[in-house]
Amino acid sequence: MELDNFKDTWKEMVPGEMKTSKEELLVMLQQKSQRPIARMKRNIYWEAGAVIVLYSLAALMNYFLNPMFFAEMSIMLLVIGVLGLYYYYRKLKLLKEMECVQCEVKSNLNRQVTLLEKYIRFYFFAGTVLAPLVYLVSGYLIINKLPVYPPRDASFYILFAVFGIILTGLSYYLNKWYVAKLYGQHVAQLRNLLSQFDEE
Amino acid sequence: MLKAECVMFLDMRRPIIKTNNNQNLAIPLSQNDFLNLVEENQGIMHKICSLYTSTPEDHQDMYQEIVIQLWRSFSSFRGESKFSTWMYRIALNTAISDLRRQGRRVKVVFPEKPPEQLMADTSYAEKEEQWKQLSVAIQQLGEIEKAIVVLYLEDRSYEEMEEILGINTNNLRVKMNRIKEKLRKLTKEE
Repeated sequence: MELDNFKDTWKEMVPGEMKTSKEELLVMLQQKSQRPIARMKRNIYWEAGAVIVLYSLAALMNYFLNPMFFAEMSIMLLVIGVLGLYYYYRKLKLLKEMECVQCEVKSNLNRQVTLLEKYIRFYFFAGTVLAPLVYLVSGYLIINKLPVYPPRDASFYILFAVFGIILTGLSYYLNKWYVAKLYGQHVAQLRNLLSQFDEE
Repeated sequence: MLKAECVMFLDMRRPIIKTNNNQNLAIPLSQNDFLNLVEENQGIMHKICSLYTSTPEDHQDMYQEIVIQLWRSFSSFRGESKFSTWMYRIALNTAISDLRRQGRRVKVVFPEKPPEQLMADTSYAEKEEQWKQLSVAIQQLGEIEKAIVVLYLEDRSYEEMEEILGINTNNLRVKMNRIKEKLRKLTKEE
């Protein structure tokens, strides 16, 4: 059976029951895109909004309730909040660059793979660093702001360091697993599509 | 064949699109102009959706997504490429990279209405059967191969296919020959 024999048939075919009226098209234009990248962008806006509100409130409440003792904590909360915003900004920037539907199909897929891998690396790095960072900040506050209990001797600091190392290791492997679970299949599918361009 | 082609420019920011009614539309276009263009060219978009989805719901979702993407990109269309090239790129990019629906492709749906010419033909039943076989075979191709087949059936030149897909012309010719061979084998097996 020859493909060329079906060119005329193909052109004359009208997708039955699939005609879309102008009114239906207008309704479609009001809808939000459901593509994964569009949804990820919307999630980031929500998360960033939540970080701004929650961290600002926490810092303010902390400052006004305990101005003498916890000003440092407020500053730390603000610093973590600003770092969080940079994290969302960077993710959003990568997502915005990730897709170019007007580009050639091959270059669009290439761009998606490259930037998604960059996005994953950043996500993995940020996720892995977050746990030890929070641990260190908490440790700093406990050591400097709480009454002297437990005693701050050498064994305390060794124990603190050992827990920190274990937590960092756990955070690394947990993040590795989670990132692979979230994006592994997606990247593999994109790579598979790209490989179809080079198939001999 | 697409019914609107970008044929000339007033300047780089205001290309003119000529519709099949010989009406000249200067860009930037209104929402109504956009709707007219989509309405005129919806046949090809539905055919692409048919090839890349397996259920009417997925078909409708993909069609909607293509329309949204076209609308979002419409304001930045500067006429550097033909309107058809631009539209095929967006439709195929949207369809091919929709990985969620790829995993759900389990059954073949090709909901086209038989062409009138074929209906009048005495050998219609035979041709319809052949077309069904070919449709099933096309569904078994890879995502990129399907895109090549769509453009080939739409009579796009290899140069335009290169502009849309990013595969060089020589490579496209080789791929096309292989696809034809593959389809021949697949339709024989059925």
